[in-house]
Amino acid sequence: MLILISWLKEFVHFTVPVETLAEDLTMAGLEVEEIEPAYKGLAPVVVCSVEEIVPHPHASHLQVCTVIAGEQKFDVVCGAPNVEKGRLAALARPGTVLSDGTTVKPSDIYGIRSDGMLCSEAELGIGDDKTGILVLEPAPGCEVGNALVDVLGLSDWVLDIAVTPNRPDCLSVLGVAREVSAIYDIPLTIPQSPNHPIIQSSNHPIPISISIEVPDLCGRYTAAVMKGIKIAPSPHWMAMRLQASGIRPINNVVDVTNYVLIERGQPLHAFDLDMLTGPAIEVRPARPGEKIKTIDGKHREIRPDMLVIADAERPVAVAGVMGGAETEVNDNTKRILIESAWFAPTQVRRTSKALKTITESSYRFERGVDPEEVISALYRTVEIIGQVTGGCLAGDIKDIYPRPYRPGYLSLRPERANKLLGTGLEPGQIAQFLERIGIELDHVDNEKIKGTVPTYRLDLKEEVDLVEEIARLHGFPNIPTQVPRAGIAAMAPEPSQGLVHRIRTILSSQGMTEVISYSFMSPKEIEALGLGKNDPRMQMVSVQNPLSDDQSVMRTSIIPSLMGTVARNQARRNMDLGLFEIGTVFYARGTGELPLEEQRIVALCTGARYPESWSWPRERVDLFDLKGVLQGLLQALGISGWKTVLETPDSPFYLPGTSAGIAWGKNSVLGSFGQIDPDVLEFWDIDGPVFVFELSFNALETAASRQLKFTPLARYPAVERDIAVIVPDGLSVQVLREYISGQAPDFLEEVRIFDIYRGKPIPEGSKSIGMRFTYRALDHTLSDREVSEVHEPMVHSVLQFYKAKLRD
Amino acid sequence: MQERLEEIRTHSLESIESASSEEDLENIRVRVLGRKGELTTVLKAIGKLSAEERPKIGQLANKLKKKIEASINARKEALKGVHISGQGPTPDGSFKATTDFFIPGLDPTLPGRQRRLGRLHPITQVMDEICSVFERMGFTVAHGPEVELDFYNFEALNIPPDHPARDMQDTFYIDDKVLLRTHTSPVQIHAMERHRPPMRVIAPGKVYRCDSDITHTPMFHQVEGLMVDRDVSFAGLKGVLTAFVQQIFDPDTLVRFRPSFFPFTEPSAEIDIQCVICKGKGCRICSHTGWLEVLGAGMVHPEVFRHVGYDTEEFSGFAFGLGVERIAMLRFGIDDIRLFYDNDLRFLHQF
Repeated sequence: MLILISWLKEFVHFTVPVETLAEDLTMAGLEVEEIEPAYKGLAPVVVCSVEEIVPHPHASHLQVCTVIAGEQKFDVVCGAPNVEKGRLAALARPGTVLSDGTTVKPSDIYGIRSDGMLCSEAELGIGDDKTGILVLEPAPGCEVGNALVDVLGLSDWVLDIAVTPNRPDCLSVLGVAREVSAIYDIPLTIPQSPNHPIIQSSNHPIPISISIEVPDLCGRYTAAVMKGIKIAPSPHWMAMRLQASGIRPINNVVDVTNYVLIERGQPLHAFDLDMLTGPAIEVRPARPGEKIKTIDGKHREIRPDMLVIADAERPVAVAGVMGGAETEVNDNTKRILIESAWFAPTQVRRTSKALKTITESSYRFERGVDPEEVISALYRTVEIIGQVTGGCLAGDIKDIYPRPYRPGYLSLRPERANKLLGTGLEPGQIAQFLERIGIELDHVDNEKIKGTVPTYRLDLKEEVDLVEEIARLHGFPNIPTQVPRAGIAAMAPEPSQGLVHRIRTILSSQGMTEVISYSFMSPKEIEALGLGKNDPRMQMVSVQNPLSDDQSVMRTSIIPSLMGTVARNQARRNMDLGLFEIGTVFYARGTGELPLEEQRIVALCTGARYPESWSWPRERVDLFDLKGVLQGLLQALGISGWKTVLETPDSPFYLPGTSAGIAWGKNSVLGSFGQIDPDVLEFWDIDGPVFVFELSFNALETAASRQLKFTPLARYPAVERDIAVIVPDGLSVQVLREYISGQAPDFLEEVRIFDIYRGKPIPEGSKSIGMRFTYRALDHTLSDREVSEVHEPMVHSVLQFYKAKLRD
Repeated sequence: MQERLEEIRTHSLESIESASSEEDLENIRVRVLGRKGELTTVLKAIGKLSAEERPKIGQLANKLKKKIEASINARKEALKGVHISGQGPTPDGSFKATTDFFIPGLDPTLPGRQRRLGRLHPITQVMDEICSVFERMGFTVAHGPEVELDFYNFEALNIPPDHPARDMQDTFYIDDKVLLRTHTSPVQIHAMERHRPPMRVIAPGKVYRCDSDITHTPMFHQVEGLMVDRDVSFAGLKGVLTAFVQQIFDPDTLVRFRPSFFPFTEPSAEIDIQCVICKGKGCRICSHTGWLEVLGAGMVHPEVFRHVGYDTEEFSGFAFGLGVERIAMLRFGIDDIRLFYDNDLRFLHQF
């Protein structure tokens, strides 16, 4: 809401500087976002003296003036009759914004360059004279080169106030003035003259019928008919105020309705009476199939759930939102009907949403306007239209008020207020605060303060609303700052919280960098994973109003998010990536039902194994770098007894033969890992290979929930035995190790794979697996013999079972 | 004997360093360590020493032998132009001989063999820090779904349908009843439905609003807090949030509470801190006001308590919410919020 200071001062005479006012309003809840000079557009205008005048060589009605402004000389083309050598004039330098909204630019006028413009009062928007240029009289302070705004004392300011939705009463100069009056405890003066002679001169009434079909949606409708209107541009003072308030002047009738809207917060509309059939006004729901062309030139289909203002035949306005084009005031208008009404906020809001149109009117109606201001704003409008158009009332003002508003009545307990705020305010002081905001008190004692709420404060509905008012006026800085005394809330933390934390720490300690991606993505990205139709990840939750198609569904997998991150990084030549993300995935259930939300942990690596350096070999990461990170994570979480299984159903995005699942317990799957299929990489235009693991947080949480138990440290030395066996290529290490552990004595501590070899002299189709067996007993030092007694038969059994050979 | 060792040390190391070919080095090796070499001779003579001197001189001589061997090897490598890097294990599983001694030509200014560092996302770091400040004040962390019912996101928070306050938050809808939560405030409601006061919870998490520009992303992070008990007052709210701000920013940070509006609190407040960039003088970041908005807060509206069946006469409470990105941007001087979700490694590795 833009508020012009000089306008505000007509209502409330404060003396503080504008910066202080802005600060005080902000601290009372009306946040002033900006203080702007009102004549900002005139900042480049300077006083100049006309040095020389020569006729324009190519245009007989123009002259070329050489003017001096400060140190500089300018040539300006001018057509005004009153330019005289030696006089002082106003030079609008390039950048000046004129009253019609245009910006002055250096220009070429019939071959002569003009460095600005000599302006009239009207062009500058500081007066109505447009017969010639503004001529200034030499005086102290009015010298060549001075800024015009300083010379004329045009110092006015505009406050840009962010009005919160609960305070529609502050969407007007009057409303802000009431606040200023309450903050400084100074009187409010409302310029109002309902008994103005123009209003009384209602001779020769024009009959008009007004009816409200739905009093629930239109609580009050008032109207005035005026005749003898002469449409013309508004006087400069009004145009200036409207412009300062962000409203474009149109003509002297429309401008007055806007002027009163800004001043009083009451939306108004003027119809050309001669365009209204009847003439009659009906406030009714739209009929099926009705249409209207509104004043913004748009043809609109209106629905029966919208409220319209209609004449005897057709809708002439969408109630509370916008008037119709056919009945709008135009240059030939002589007689008008002015509407001032109260429409139900919800009704206006729904209509405005449905028509996707927000207007100054709808904005105020949907927040709530003062039902009592409806009529005084109409009087004010009639008065000013009378002044500026020469028109007068034709008949009595109509006021249809089927459901008179009953002002609210509230009571407040001072003790309660003090308890909530942590203050020790006296009831008398509290009563004073309430009176300052216009509450008419009829009862004040230590227990209770009661009073009637002013009709413009529709937001004051219960005791706590008054507590807020007290806090505001007392000032938040004056409320003490205390550490609260409160009982201990012995709520257990969610166990998952700590686990998320641990997972992040473990992964980052292994060189993985955490990323956070948007939870939405394009369905195409999910489809690019090549999932089956019945895969749960194809059950996507769609967003009704996404910002773009790329963000139209909630993600069912984090893999596409990481693919996108890899692609973006590769495009910027960040090729060596170790990334992970912990986030939510969403699976659709029924309409109206919440989707299933699950947490996933996804990690990825690609590029070089080591940072590029003189000291590291240049090597690519491979699957086992990634699996190492995964193992490290499981180990650090204390998860044991997991194994790699070769089946990875429903993971078509892995390159066949590179992926495996991580199984745990009886039939739990923690997740999977593998190399991303090049076809999938192609969708994102990624250079591979890329390795990924994906884990289910829930499964991990179950597996990690086991209490860790201490294992006594070994006190006796270990005995190590190395063997290398040649086995068929297809035999997996895990199967071999499982076979060994089935045979092993309990003092076999560990079997470590130290070498895998394929190639000569190993026959084709076979591989050599180098294994180091570590034997250790907890209670004594093992002898060589003891070890050999179990080791050798076991090796023998392995060789026999797998038809394997020992490598020499 | 000791002097002799010192002599051998000096001249052999000198000649190793000045050796210009492998052949030179081989000659030196033979001269010093060969069967009749200078050092070998000394070593052979050790047996003749007294029992006292023997171990001492023996040790010195052996140390010197190793040193000379290592120096010869290092020099050999240097002459070959072999990389000093890439010292892998030897075939027998033992490590290659390295040395505790001075290696000619070693350059300690070379960068170290650094591993790749992992980082936590700056939002995670700041969020963890915010949570830990509140956890120290006795708040417990709680979570809720990111896709919510309209009821929890709006209605239970005193934002009925068709209320203009809905415009304060541009909402992504899934259908008429289901939406992406626009704030973590619904977690308040879930917590109050499950627990009786006293209550102190914070709810960190992702929230969604349809907005995207240099200061808005359609997804961002919030931390919401709630404290309910018998005597919780606005003064207490000021106490807790002042403490928070001063722990997160600077102990001297000026804090300002000013009235505002949220449908689910009353009185409502915005909390500004003195601009961390210009220290209140006025700059572009604070729009020349000297203040930065960092938190929204207020006393829980009785309507919210009614929704969860708390007695509004018995209990009072305060709630607050803050944007994690905003705090992180102020902290690190980040000027474009979208950087957080672009996940450029050059960005992530700065934190």
